[in-house]
Amino acid sequence: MKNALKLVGIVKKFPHVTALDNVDFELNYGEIHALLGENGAGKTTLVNIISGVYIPDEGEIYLEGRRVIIRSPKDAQKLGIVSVSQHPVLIDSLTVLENIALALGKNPHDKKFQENIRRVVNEFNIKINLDAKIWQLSATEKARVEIVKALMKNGKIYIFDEPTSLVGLKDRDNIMNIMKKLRDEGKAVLFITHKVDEVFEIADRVTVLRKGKKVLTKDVKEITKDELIIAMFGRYSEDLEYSKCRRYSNGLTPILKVDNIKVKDDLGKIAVDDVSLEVYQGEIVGIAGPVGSGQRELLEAIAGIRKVVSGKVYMFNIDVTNRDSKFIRKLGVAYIPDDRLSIGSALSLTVRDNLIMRDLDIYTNRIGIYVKSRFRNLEHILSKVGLSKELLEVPCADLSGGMIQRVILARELLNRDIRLIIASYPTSGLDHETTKLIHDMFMKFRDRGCGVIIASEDIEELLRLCDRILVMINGKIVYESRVDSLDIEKLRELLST
Amino acid sequence: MKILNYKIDIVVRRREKISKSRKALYTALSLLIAFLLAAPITYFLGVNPILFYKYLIIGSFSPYSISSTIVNLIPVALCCLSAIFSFRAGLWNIGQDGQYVLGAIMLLWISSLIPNVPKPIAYTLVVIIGGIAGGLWCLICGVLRAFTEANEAVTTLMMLYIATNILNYLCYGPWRSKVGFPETFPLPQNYQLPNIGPITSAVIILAILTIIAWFILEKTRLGLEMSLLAEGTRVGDYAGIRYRRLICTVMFISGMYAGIAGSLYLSYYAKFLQPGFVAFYGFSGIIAAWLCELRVEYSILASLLLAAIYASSYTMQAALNIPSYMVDTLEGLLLTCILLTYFFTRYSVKIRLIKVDRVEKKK
Repeated sequence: MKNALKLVGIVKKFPHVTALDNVDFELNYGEIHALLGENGAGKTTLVNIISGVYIPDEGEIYLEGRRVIIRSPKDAQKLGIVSVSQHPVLIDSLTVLENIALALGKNPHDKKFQENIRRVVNEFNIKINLDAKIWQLSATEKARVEIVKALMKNGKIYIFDEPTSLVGLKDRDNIMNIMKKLRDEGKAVLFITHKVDEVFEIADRVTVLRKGKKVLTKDVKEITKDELIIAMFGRYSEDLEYSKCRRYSNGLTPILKVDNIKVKDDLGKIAVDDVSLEVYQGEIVGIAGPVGSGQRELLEAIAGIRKVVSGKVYMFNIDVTNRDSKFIRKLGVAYIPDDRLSIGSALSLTVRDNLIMRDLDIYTNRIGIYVKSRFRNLEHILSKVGLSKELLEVPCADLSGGMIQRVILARELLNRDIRLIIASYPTSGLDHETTKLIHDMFMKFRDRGCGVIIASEDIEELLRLCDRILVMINGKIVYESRVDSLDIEKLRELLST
Repeated sequence: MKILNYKIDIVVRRREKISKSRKALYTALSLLIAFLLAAPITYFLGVNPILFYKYLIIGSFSPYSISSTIVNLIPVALCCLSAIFSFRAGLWNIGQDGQYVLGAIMLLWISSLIPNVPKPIAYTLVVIIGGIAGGLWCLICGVLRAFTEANEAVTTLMMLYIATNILNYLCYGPWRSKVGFPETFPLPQNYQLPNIGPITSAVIILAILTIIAWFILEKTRLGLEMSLLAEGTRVGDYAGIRYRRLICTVMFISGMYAGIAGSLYLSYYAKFLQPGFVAFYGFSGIIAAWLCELRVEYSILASLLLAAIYASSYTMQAALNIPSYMVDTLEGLLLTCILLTYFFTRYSVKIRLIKVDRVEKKK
């Protein structure tokens, strides 16, 4: 196998951390090489160095044995390095076709170019409406656009940065197939992930990073799952086993009652079609189903940031249908949105501002002036999610995804007395530590009598955490069961179609 | 781009971080460049650039002209605060001059109805009437933005021309004084703010209003909600912002500051209205707002620079026979350079010459 890319002694330092500490790495043509590590292990930094976003402080990069200096993404592209980003940068007001044309410097009206895109889309079996505007697309569909863009570039080395973290099950399989196809065409594929199972599913070789250092590189055939987990975390991770202490509602009045609601998505299509559900005190209800089946819209409507077209929502026996999020928040409702970067947090504001922004009534007096004494509480709630108080004045844009989710968690759960938690994909794309923190907190709140409703694509997570599971497909609830009497076969069948 | 054997290679990169001192250095450099660029222009106007700089300083900071600088500082600083308020919230009120005119017109009108109030009350009225008039004038655009999504940059600018034409109408029409010039009757004596020594007492009001602005932006929920408004609607919905109310509030306060600029200027300096009352302090205020990076702490400093340029224009016209439009030119240069600084503090640009044969070898 021919060597495609070789990195020797890469060092990259940021103001407070050493992101990469003397890392060596090798990538061959015709292989899928997995780069495994927790969030913050340095995976994304390494990718950014290969794709020219960052310049390493020290170290050398060799392409096909020749030393190269990659000073910008443009340089990387010229060398045939194509990366598929975790958070695609697309222009909302333009169509899919126009965005792809823009990225490639092509004329979107060029018939030949359009034909080329159609050919690629068909060849790799990607479902995408080329004439849709970007703002109309879900995160999953945006990820598809990013992939088409990358395939059109026709490179030699492909980098997939956690491509499966934000997409649904079907797209996941599709992305896996695309990677295999690229490998079989003789290209080099670098696959970044924090999911051990995915490594065994697809990769030929694996490199593990931990805290900015390389731990090992091995053929996947020569390593076991346990070895890999130890390499990744440095110790055995205790299993998140909560199932022993499951609770079941005893038929008290529900704290959340949703009555035949219909909700539209951003395109104005009905996304939630006549859904009814209840959440009782002290239980966790999970919503499973392929991403984009209306779970997000349903939870947004309950949280008061999306309009309910028809039907009713009651919380604590109060009709809250189409009340704004401020009113619902004051009832003691936490909402953790799926999009942490554009809904969940205000990136240009400091952590302090982000912590108080949903509870200004607590932190200000009646005429809206900050009450200094109440701000002391902020250090305390930050420490409860494992963040230091020095971060208070740091803009959220400087934090990693996991840290931002911790800030959101602190704000939503610890600022006031919470009686209901609404969480939309709360752990997607997060590292093990943060995921565990989130699960622990949900369990603690449940035991205190709080009701929790979670949407997740990770069925294992739901089985571990929930007392009751609903399956939502195409905007309808098609299955509902307590976890102890769950028909696993039926669930598999529903989720795989 | 290829020149002979060489290729020019330009790499633009986003800066990961920039130190405060570096940022200050860049800002100072950009100001310097703006002033240097003025030299060739004055040269073509037939004036020695050295003399131009000399009178720029004499005309603004000599003992004689410092009071004239202060006279200009107050409206510029208040318009700067007005711009800071709206820009911080992501709203683009650029019609400060219109609100400024309205503040002055309403003050003159109401004061003519009740000319004989005690001085302390009259001084308070100067601020209140100017504020409410400017605020309401700007609120029209705020309401249009909040309820019909009419772009406030366009409406505030158009309202500026309506305001100046109202002023013209009054000066040439119903309020024309008996002297015959297109100017109005004067402001009643009781409403005229006195001087403290050579400097007007309006600086005290400016100081108070600046502190209030800082307080609102940094210490109240309104300040935070404004930042959230600028951040985008999705996070705003989530934080429970009531957009329409917030947009209207911000536009009212923004207009209020510009309106007070007008009524104060009438009260401590102009004394009566004439078509030339619109001196476009609003635009200078906007430039000052960008210069201080929308930070109230530095607004006075930035405004002082603009006011100094303004003040020197009279001296320069008298001493060097340079048209006062030169001031507008200089302001334009300043704005251009400041906006470029915004770019250079966020991105680094490296230009290199690469020998072509080396590039080919690489391929």
